Amino acid sequence: MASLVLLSKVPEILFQIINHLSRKDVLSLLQTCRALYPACYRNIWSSVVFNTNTNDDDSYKLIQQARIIKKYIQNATAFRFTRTLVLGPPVFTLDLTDYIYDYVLSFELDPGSKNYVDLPEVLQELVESNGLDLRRIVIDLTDAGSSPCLKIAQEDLLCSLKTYAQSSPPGEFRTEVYGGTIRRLPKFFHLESITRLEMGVEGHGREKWPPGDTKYIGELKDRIGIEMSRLASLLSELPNLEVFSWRDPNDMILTVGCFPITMLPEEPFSSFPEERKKLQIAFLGMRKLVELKFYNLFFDPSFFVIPPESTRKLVIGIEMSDDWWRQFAKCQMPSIRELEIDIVHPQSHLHPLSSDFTIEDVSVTGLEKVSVICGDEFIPSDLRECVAQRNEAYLPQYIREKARERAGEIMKENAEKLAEHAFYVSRALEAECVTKILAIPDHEDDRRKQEFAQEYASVFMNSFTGTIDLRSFTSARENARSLRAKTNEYFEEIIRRITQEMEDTYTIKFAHGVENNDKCEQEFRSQCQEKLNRWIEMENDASKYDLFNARNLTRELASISERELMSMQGLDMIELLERRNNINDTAIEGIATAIVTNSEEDIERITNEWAQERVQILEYLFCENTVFL
Amino acid sequence: MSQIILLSSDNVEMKVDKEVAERSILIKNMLEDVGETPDQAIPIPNVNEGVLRKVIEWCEHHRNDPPPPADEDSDSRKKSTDIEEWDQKFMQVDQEMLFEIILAANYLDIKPLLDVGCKTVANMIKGKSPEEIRKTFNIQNDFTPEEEDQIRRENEWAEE
Repeated sequence: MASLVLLSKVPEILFQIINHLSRKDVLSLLQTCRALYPACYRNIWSSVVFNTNTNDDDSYKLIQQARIIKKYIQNATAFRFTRTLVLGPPVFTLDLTDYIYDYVLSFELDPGSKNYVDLPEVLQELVESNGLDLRRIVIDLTDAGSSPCLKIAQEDLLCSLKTYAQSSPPGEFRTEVYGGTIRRLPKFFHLESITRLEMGVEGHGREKWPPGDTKYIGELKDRIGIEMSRLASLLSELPNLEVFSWRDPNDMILTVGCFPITMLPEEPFSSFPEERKKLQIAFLGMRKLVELKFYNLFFDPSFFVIPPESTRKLVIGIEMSDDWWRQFAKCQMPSIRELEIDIVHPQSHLHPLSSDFTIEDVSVTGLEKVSVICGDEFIPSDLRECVAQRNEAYLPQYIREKARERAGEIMKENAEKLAEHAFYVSRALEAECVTKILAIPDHEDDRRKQEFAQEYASVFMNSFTGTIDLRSFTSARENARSLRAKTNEYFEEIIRRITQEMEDTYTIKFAHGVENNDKCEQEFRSQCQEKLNRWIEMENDASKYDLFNARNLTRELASISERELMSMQGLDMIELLERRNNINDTAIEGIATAIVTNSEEDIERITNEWAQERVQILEYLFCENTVFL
Repeated sequence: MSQIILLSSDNVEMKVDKEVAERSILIKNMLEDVGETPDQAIPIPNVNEGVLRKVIEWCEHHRNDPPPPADEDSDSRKKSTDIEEWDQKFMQVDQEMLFEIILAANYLDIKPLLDVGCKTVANMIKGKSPEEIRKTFNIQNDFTPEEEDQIRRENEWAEE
């Protein structure tokens, strides 16, 4: 009989299942039985990852991990399966030797251990052992970026990895670097094997720039030019680079590279025409670059880089001026399929886009996707339209976006209608129930109350399962109002009568002038109240009694439904549920499609279906609450 | 449209459009090798009638699907387990049938069907504890308590 355990005999299938699981799920599966263990074990160890954001509390855990690794290096079974090594903040940021407490603790827990185990050291040992067959290493120095130099053990580890990369067959080994800086790269990395480089700008916020490097200390204004030249020559040494990103690791608003914005000269970036030319040439020479990302304000907003021929995705997270867009409009970029405009901060005050700027036309022809993360106010108002005109492949996305806008409006109207619907229903029911309670003999009995509550719930639900018909609810509301007005009138009449009786007594009192007006008024009120209560308690007057109780009961029940529907403001609740059920998006997507195909009927059908779903959720909620009345 | 006959492991013959049967790369290659549409039934020795009918049903529904994209980066974990609605309903079968379909898809080399099957199983595993997984798939725990402990300890650090 076929079963999951039996699949372990066909490892390729089991691997495929495991590939769809998260690490945590694989760990659970690994613990189930012997048959499934080997494949899961292999998968778990296929990548060794030290990339969580680490804090002080984790230091002991890291020491433990270092120990386990050390142990495994000795019997070298697990690492046979390791193809990917990811080394991030736990290895390059946290200095465990600083945590004396853990250091001491490690002795206490394991008295046999003679030496403190340091993660970078152990990892170096691992890399230098013979049992490793890596295909990919990922180094994340992002958090180490602001520190001027790495610890010796960390540097040694990087050098070992560099040697490992050098000895691996070219083309079969990939290095990915996050947070590297221009100066560090040649020293610690095998440049030829780098396929991904997400680089930071060096010397951020520091007085000395670059740190520890006296050669380039010069005028502030020259530094940008120097960094540009360095980048240009570095790029020519990265023949296999596929993804390149240059981003200031810190804030993008207040500083540009190492410069606080307030210190910037007036035209800081456009003064290096030679360097800019060099950089542009370097980019054009990148044969394998498929993704190019610019993030910081290091560039002048008008510095437009023509991407190399191989680039398919261009991400721009810098401020773009009118000039930038003019150059974009002229540039054909035949290979680019995706343009992404990332966060552009409006406070940089460099050369922001003029509010009335229009691009009018574009030359790019191969675009399939345009994403604007920062909001459409940072792009020319006619950009999407112009791109849609020239790029057939983008047209469906464009139409879809327009349709989604409209669909969003329709859904909003519908949600309002639904909230109104809920409001009318609860009002109409209040009136209906007053009448119903009056018809029930001995309704003050608890059991009757329970039955009534159920009946109330069923009436409520029946009102909801019908199609939305606002007219009927408008009339129901009218009924409710008139009934309520009648009830109020009745009570007001009684109160008026009582008050009048009392007034006769008190008018004399007030007319003669009393010492304490407030006290007298209080007395007046309390006597009125007493009289009213007495009147209510008169059991022989059943109709008064019933009316009063019925009204109270109805209020009580209505308030329960209203608590759900109204006090949560109906809409909020609906939205909350929507977020959970993700229905709204589906509906919006459906309407968007209908709008694209111009089908009014479909729009109506989908909005109705959506409303029905909401109604069912409301019913469900109400049902849940009614049971406990 | 030309039709071919498939013969299940329990000797039941089934007539299928050639185009539908060719969703199976195994059958497609076989037919290409033969060169012309064979008159005789093609034996499918590893798949019984019930399973073969299910597989054909899937192939019928997906007969016009575009070919799957070329192998993506096999290194990256394919975490997405979204399954389209029809396939989800199709996979609502008892566990034995589910695994039989997966095995058949593997044997007949129908990658998209194999993928849907694997995703379905993965979805049944997701978010569950080892004990819950055992319960779902009726797995006997054959580890000793000491082994269990050791496994947990050794692999604990691998948790993200």
